[in-house]
Amino acid sequence: MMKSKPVNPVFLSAFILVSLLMVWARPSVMAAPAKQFQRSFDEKAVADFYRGKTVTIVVGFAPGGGYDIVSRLIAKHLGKYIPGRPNVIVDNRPGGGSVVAANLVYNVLRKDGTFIANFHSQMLLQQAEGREGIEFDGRRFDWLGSVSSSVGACALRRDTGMTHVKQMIGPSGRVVNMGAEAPGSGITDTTAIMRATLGLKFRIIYGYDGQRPIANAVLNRELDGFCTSWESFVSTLKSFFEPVQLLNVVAVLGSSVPDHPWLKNAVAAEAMAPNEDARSLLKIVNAPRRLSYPYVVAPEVPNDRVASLRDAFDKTLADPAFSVDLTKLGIPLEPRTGEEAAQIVNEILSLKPEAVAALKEALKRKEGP
Amino acid sequence: MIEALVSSLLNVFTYPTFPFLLIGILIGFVIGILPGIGGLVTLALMLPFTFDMKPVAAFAFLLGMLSVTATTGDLTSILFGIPGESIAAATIVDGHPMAKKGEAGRAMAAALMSSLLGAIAGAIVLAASIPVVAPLVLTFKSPEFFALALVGITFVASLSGKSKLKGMLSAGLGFVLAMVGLDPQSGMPRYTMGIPQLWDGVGLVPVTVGLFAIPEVVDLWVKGTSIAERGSESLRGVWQGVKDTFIYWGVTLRCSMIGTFIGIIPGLGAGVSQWVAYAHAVQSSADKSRFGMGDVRGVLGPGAANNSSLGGALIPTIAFGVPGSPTMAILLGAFLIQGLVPGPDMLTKHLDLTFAFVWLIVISNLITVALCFLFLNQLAKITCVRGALLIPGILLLVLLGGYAESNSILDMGITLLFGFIGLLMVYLDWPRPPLILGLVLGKLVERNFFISYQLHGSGFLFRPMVIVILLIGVAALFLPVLQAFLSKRLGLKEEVFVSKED
Amino acid sequence: MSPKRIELIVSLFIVLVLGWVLWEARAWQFHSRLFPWSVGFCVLGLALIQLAFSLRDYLRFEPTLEVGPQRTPLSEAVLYGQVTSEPEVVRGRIIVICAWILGFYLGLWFLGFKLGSLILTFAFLRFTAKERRSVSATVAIMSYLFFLAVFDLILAMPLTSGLIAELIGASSLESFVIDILRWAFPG
Repeated sequence: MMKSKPVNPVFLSAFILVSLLMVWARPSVMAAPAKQFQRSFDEKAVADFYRGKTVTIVVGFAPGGGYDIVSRLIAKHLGKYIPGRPNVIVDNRPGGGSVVAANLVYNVLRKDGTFIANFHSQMLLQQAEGREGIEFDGRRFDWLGSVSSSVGACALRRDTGMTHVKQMIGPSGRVVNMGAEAPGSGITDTTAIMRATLGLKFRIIYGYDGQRPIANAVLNRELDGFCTSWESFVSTLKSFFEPVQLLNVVAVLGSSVPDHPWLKNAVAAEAMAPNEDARSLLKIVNAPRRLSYPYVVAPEVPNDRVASLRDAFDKTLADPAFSVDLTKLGIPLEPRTGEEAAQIVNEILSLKPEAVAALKEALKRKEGP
Repeated sequence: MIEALVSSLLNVFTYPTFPFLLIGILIGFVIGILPGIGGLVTLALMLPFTFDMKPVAAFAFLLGMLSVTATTGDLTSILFGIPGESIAAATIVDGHPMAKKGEAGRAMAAALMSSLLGAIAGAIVLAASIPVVAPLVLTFKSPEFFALALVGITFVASLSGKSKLKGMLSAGLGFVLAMVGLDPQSGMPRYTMGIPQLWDGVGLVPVTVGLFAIPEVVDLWVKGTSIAERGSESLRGVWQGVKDTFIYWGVTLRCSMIGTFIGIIPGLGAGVSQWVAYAHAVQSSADKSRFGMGDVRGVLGPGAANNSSLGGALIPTIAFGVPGSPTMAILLGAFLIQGLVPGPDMLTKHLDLTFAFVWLIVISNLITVALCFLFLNQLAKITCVRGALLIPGILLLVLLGGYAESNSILDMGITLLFGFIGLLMVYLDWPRPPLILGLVLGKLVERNFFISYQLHGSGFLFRPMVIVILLIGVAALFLPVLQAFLSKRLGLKEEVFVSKED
Repeated sequence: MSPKRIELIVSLFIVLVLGWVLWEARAWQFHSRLFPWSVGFCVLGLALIQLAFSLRDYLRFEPTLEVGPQRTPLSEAVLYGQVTSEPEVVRGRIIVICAWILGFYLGLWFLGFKLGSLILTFAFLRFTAKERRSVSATVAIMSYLFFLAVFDLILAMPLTSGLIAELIGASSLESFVIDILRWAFPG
């Protein structure tokens, strides 16, 4: 009979502890150094800090735009979920497509947790492309999360007769005039990447001053179509579909087509992409849209306060009153937590130099198909 | 249709619509006076409050505010030479000199009455044009915009006073200034010196406020008197201003039409129409010598145009859901929040709502003008206060105006810089309005040129509407020369070619 | 410095600025360069003509090409109730007010709108406009309250609290002072 040696309790505890430690501290799958996503916080200490203070959401756009209104909605509800119930206000700092606001919060404004930045996630793509004037690093921001998610979509006027993308591909494909702003905007980049990866015969007309003038130009038949976010089509551009459907949506910049009556003939660009490189380019260009209406704080903010802000942000987005107001704007609520947001940011900003070069080549100004 | 017209009118005077209208007017009144904080910003700030309101009440609130800001913006332009709204800048050119001559009451009354008539004209056109507006809006595409912007620059001649060379140089410099920012074609920063705040260009509001208002502050201190150098006239002046609107009914009416028409075209708005109206007032007068020094027609024109543009701008917004200006875009947001879809439905299912808008504009303007007239004398008395007492307040408003558009100290610095530039221009007798016009139109010319060229190649210049517009521009440029030539050769009196009331 | 000399300097300056504008654009691609060059060269042509005219006027001591309005701006001042055109008086006043305008800008930048307007208004009225202390203080306090009421309370649109507050990490100078007082006098 084998005598069983009693297990040394000290050894056992140490073993369990070390295992737990290893599981907890396992190297992250992400390419960038993992940010600690602390979620617990000392409620009393945080409340003591925020009591009587004002938290400012610095929005990178002028009053009245989508970003401004969403931030004001968040400001309306956020305060009650932050310990100490501070006053939450919105400060508009437009400029540079929201680069100014992001730079400000990252570099200049107080890093004590009273300033939250709301800038356009397209700026992350611009950082990846190495655009000058960007003085922040998207990976180092402490991400609170984002409100919505969307995909790019391309639509053409019904009276052009274009109902399916294959009518615009190949030697017999028809050339269509697609409106765009300058390279670097979401609209322009989406149009360019569709053309580059799927071989669509898009003739891109650069230089329009925003989505509104492009929509005008489509309405009066100067342009054949344009690409923007699907969310815009169902909210601000709804009059193009109801009561009379004036546009056909032919493609969606994603891996699958959402289930919607207006998307009956649309194809998913990633499904049609010829190879893996093209697919990854499409993914990268759409990535900012998955982070629509993002909120961040500066890297140096104390972890406790970041954790409490993340918690408050999640609760705000889960608040039924908030979602009711958001629906009135036609914006779908698809929240992402800080962790999920940071992961998407990492995808965008960890591109290898060859990928960046391919991206810049696909997105640069080129008129003809 | 008549029942809809009448019933929507009665609807305006119900609860809670009417109280919200009054609140909107009150807020708009105060905000309109503050430079830099314009109708646009206020509208945007108040938008979230409309989430829980019913449609007519929400629009009563918003339209009430919007109608008022254009009117009160004219008042600060006249009294202090500070544009309370960027769309009221043209009113400064003759309005403030009138205040300095002691005619502040007359100028303000003229601005108010012409604003009222302009707004009513715009509302009437809005109501009447509902069935026919589609072909009009759809005719104007990028080549036509290019031509319009180019022709706009020919109006430089009328705004140059006596020195055409300096006027053209001023406009040219404004045009060059418009190139600062990201290139619309390639996204490359031009002349931004590494400052991201300049990526969107030099702000129109800081430049306008600085260029016009700071020289007035300097002038006020140097003079050592009050704004009205030799005292202000009494109630008679106010009544005179009202009469002026009807004496010069041609100018008022034509400028209302100019404002409405330009407001209808998406992309152009009151910012442009005020100058076009001013230029037209100058061009259509036989005696141009008093312009720039206190000619009441120089107040009537812009006053009428900047209010009528609102009614005009509503047309494409309501009819197509495609807003023609940032202000209209915000109003569109209000539509969405209320669950309304602009488009044909607004002219059929929701016709009573559309008519309600028309009445809201008319009534809010009537109320505003009535309120202003009550306080007009008190307001005019400000011009008799010691200048030194007013200077800090005016200077603060000026710097606030530069700062507040983008909450930017850089913009405030631009206000300062252009303030000193404006001072030099006044000292050396260089005309300032062409610089503003160059700045506004320069961007339009470049954008529309490249779009037109990409779409049509060089053939875009031969489109019929483009040729028509360019011919009108050439005619406007050479009309005064032609008039003089014909009258000399044919022995006809020059007055035959100009309006009777001059 | 006569107007003619100032105009000559300004005309020269404009020519130099346009030269820089054209020079900056030399290496840009076609689309970015087209308008700056086409407009720039035309305006440079006008500027050179203007420079020639102002040079001619300066050298010949003749009146300027175009006749200005009847009363040249910034040429008259009222001193002790009398109208005077003495250049020293006028020039002195121009310099003083320009210095104050710059001062207001710097003051608002460093101290923010509320505190800045209070201090600057009082200083201007009391020391330069030589108003009574009570009048100066009243107007100064009114401007403070105006900014407080309209922007902080009604519109909830915060205006800058000034560079100094930003640098020392306070939300505003007033709150900083209050914090110090609280620390100094607890209870």
